[in-house]
Amino acid sequence: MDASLLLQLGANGLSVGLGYGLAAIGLALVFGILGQVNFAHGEIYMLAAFVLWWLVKWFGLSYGAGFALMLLLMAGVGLLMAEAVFLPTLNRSFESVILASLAVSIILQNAVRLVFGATPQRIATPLESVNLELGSVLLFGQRLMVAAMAIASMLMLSAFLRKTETGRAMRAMAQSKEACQMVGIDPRRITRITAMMGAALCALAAGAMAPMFDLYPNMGTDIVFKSFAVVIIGGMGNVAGAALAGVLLGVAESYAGGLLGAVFRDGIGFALMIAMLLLRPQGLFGKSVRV
Amino acid sequence: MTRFNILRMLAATLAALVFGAASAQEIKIGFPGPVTGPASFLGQHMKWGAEQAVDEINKRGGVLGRKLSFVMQDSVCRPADSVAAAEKLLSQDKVDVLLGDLCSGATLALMPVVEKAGKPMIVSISTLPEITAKAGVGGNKWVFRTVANDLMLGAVIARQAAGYKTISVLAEDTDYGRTAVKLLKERLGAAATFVSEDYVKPSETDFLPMLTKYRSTKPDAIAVYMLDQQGMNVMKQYLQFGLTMPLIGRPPLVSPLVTDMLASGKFNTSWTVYPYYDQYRSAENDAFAKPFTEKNKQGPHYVAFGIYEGVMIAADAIKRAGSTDANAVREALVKSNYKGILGPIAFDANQQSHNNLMLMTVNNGSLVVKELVSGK
Repeated sequence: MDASLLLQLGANGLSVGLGYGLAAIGLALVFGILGQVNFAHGEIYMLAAFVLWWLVKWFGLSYGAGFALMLLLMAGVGLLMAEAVFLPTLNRSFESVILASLAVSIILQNAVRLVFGATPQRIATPLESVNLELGSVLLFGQRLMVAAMAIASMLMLSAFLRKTETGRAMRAMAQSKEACQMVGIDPRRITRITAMMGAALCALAAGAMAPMFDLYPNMGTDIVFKSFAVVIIGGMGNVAGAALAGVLLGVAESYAGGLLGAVFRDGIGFALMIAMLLLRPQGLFGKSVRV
Repeated sequence: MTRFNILRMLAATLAALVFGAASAQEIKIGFPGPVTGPASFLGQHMKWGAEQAVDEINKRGGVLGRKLSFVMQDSVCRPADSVAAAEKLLSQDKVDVLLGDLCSGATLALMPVVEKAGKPMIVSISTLPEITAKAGVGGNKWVFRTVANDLMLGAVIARQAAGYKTISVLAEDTDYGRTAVKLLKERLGAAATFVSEDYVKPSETDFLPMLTKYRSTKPDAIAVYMLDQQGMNVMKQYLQFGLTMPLIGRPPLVSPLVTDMLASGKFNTSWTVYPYYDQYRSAENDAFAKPFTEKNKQGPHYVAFGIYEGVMIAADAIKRAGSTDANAVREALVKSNYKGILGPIAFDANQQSHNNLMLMTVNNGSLVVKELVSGK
């Protein structure tokens, strides 16, 4: 076992893990603030990737311009999600939002298959052939961008939640919906904002990560499972916890996959998730409602 | 009898005539195949291939003066769903012949279904050897297979792989992947060292840990056994890693979607053995591949070729049987000597045919058919 392999696996794990974190923040945010589980999270990711592909392929936009426009469109989709799923189920039991978001995920998957077909697609990015070599460790341009975006969006989100009026209102909502109404915070407005931000963050992950792989209508399935694993390990609804849990999962998977073999890679994620639910159901970083 | 009753009887007779005629008219071929799920891209190609065969046959006047039709039900390429789809095809659509699913696990699950129903099934895509072993003499007499199985492919692949000293394996974690690797290892024996073996779930898209390992262990070749979409992701990431060892076994070199990656020249000396490749030039293949490409804007994938010939063989057997009676069709299938695109197709005692196979290599950035090799 040579040191360069271990270093490379570590670097891979960090970059992949930050990607997991980025993909999971949207889910963690919606759960943390609204207390609602969004099973359509993976399909929002998939839709964002296809929208980006569509903008680049059919309107000839550059990757950057397409990415920016796609984020706006996906925030709009988040608003639709709020109107169609989160608002009608806001005061109902948690099963109704699970069913409603599952319905959205099935509709989106099949709608995309109907419109764009099942043939896998690819998005070309200016960074895809850029590699950086640090000693013996190979770093990939696109993966570095994912890592940078994950860190930046995490810092910005936490600043937003702490420093702005809206952010504080969102945190208040996470603590108590009833108390919010008493002090004049409109839960419906917060729901819309949270859903839009959740969708946009998910779209940010899709725009950065999807070009590394193929695009196909089922691509959201794996993302949603990984995101749930990350959110459970990090503590349901804990945004910073999700980021750290993502890194932890990424590094663990990388070493398991590289040293033990590919079959151990997925096992480790779910084993961590089960262990967490058994031993520390509030997650690694606890405080399930804090954001 | 009142006038109302007479009218009612007339209407009933008329309806019986119309519906009776419709059901007598069409000979149905049913296919439980993936419309959704990770293999849906291949399912699409299979649908196109089958539809082309049906169109061609109907243009020539159909079979036994009746029109041929093709019905596909979604199997997601999973055993349980495939069985459900087949049950539906057999009981509701009342198909006369069934085509085997794409994924071997699903096709295997279909075997007892057709045995119970007493309907012939033609397997033109799944390559698990067990299907051959369980069919024909002493086994399931309803299952016929036109595609070479992994034992046959493995024998040809192992012959080609003889020169490599060290090999790493990357395969999907299914019957298909694991069996193919087992065969390769058995055939090569001590002549090659297997540096690493990785089995990944069919929906895995990230191969960073494995490619990292290859970069550090530098095997002579990487044996890849997976479906196209997944293999394409491997190839894409392989390019990013700047690796240069050849991909051997069953990498998806034939997929129309990797042509631009091959053009980079980084896959030169990679090779594979497939039942079919659309760029192979012969009058028989042009007659199939050209109209296909024109209509679907993509060259036919080998699964499209397989199912196209499957439908043709079914139609040929029904014609020779002179009826759609399942036993008569089965008898006719046993005696098949169909002139296929790559050579004659006939079935052995296990109802397996031994079509010619194609050995293909990447040469100067494009895939070429090096030779047709016997599937015997």
